[in-house]
Amino acid sequence: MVDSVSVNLEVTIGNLKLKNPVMSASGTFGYGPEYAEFADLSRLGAIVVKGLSLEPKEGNPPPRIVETASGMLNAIGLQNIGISAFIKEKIPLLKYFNTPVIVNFFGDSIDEYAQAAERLDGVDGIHALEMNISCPNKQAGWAVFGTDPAITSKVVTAVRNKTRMPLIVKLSPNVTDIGLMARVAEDSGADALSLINTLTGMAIDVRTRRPKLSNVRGGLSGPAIRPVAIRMVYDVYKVVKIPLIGMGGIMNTDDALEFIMAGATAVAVGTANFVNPGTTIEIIDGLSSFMKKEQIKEICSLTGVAHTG
Amino acid sequence: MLQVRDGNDPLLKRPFSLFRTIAGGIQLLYRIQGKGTTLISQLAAGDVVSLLGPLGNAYPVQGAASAASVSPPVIIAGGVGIASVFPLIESIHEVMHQSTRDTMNGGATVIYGARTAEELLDLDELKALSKELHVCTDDGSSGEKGNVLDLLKSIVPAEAGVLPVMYACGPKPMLRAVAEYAGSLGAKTYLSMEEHMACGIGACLGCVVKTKSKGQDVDDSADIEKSTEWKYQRVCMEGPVFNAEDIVW
Repeated sequence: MVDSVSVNLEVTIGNLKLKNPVMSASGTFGYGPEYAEFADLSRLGAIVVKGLSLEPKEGNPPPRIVETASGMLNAIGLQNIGISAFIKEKIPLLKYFNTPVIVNFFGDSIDEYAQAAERLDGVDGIHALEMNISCPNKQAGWAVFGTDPAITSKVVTAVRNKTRMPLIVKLSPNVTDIGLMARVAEDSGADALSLINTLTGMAIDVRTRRPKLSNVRGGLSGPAIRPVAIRMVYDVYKVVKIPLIGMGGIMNTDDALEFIMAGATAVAVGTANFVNPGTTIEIIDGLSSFMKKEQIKEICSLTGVAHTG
Repeated sequence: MLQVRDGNDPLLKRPFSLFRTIAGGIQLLYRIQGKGTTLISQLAAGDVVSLLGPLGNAYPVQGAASAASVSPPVIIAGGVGIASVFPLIESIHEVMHQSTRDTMNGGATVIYGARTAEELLDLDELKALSKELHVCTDDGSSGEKGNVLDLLKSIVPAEAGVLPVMYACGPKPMLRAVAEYAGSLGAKTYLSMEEHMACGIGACLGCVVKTKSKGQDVDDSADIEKSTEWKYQRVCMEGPVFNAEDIVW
């Protein structure tokens, strides 16, 4: 009978084993404990925390967010408490949950990335690193690291040399050839890839005739970007061997399945956490029900199935 | 945070003030402004909406009532800002009744402004709950023609001997004007701030306002610069009510 099917939601990212493929997307889940009231954090596949830098960052002036059609633009400006404060204040709280912690981090120079990785490497309570390469490079006229293959190669290599932890590279979707960027990251030592980060966008208030965000440009997220994200996961799955973490507008179980079938081993829930802070848990339960209904034993057997036939 | 219907449009919940507690429920006050509030206006009795709250802090009333015997608190509301101060008007009324047993005059001095008379709440109820109610509209269709700052300046003049505690909620330019006037008087003032908000639970860092740093662990003598430092605070967590003197405009 249907109920007798036991399903296995476990997946592996690098050498990191996750009890299920559902994690939070960086920047939408705070440092984790913010959501403890709404979601049983010990049930998550992993907690991906807000992006950290060596030094604390104040972020951009408001308005920082604006809702758009089926999505939102944000220009938070990477506000964060800094790596040292995170290790001191947040790691002890996160240790209460039996869930791997993936630390997202960034820098404004290759050297700063390397230093951040060195600082995070081997810290008890951190299980993997996710590097955000969608931020501006001080030494290259503030061009985004992740839109230049040569720079991407350099920054990923520099980080790889500083850590033995599973290293996930979060790709920027604001590129012509996502497959190329994915291969570069893989060749430079990435253990896995996260895609996609937000798409650069902007909105204008027609009454004031001014951009709605104080930063002018912002990152578009939410269901509006999902088809773009699905396509990119699909394309990248064809050209790399390392596991993919799919994200971009996942609101429910079907959305998560779409990413998995396109080629993702795991998925991250972002903007949906703002709409319903219990979304991650609902998707974990939903995946399990789907598998029982469809008589699927291993979630990993669904990865990339859209490519066959 | 209120979500009227599932789906992606509108996508995010919207923040509302808790307007009134009634038997068996609560009331929220809204003005039809966009898609979300239009949908609210189309709801029928018995429809189900999703609500996350209450969130954030509240107006501090302690001290306001004891100081009230000398100078009643002044509450300033602009437009739908009345929703957030309404429970405050009620509780000050209640506290002052109990402490002064003055059934006639217990309550705050309320200054209430809107664009037109149509956008004002029922004034009789407010009148009954306040010591004095002063109303103004931009077009003069109700009360004085003008804005709440003009009224505030005449009710609490610069030469006022005893300064009241003040509370304000309304559009940002109004709050700023109130804060600047209160600052020139030196009157203790609390503002309920508003910013674009996504999560309401402190995670997205979208709804920040710039505030003076309290500098708890800062050695002031060591670095003069520190005393002028600022930081962002979240409207949803550290707010929405802030000390007017802490806001950096």
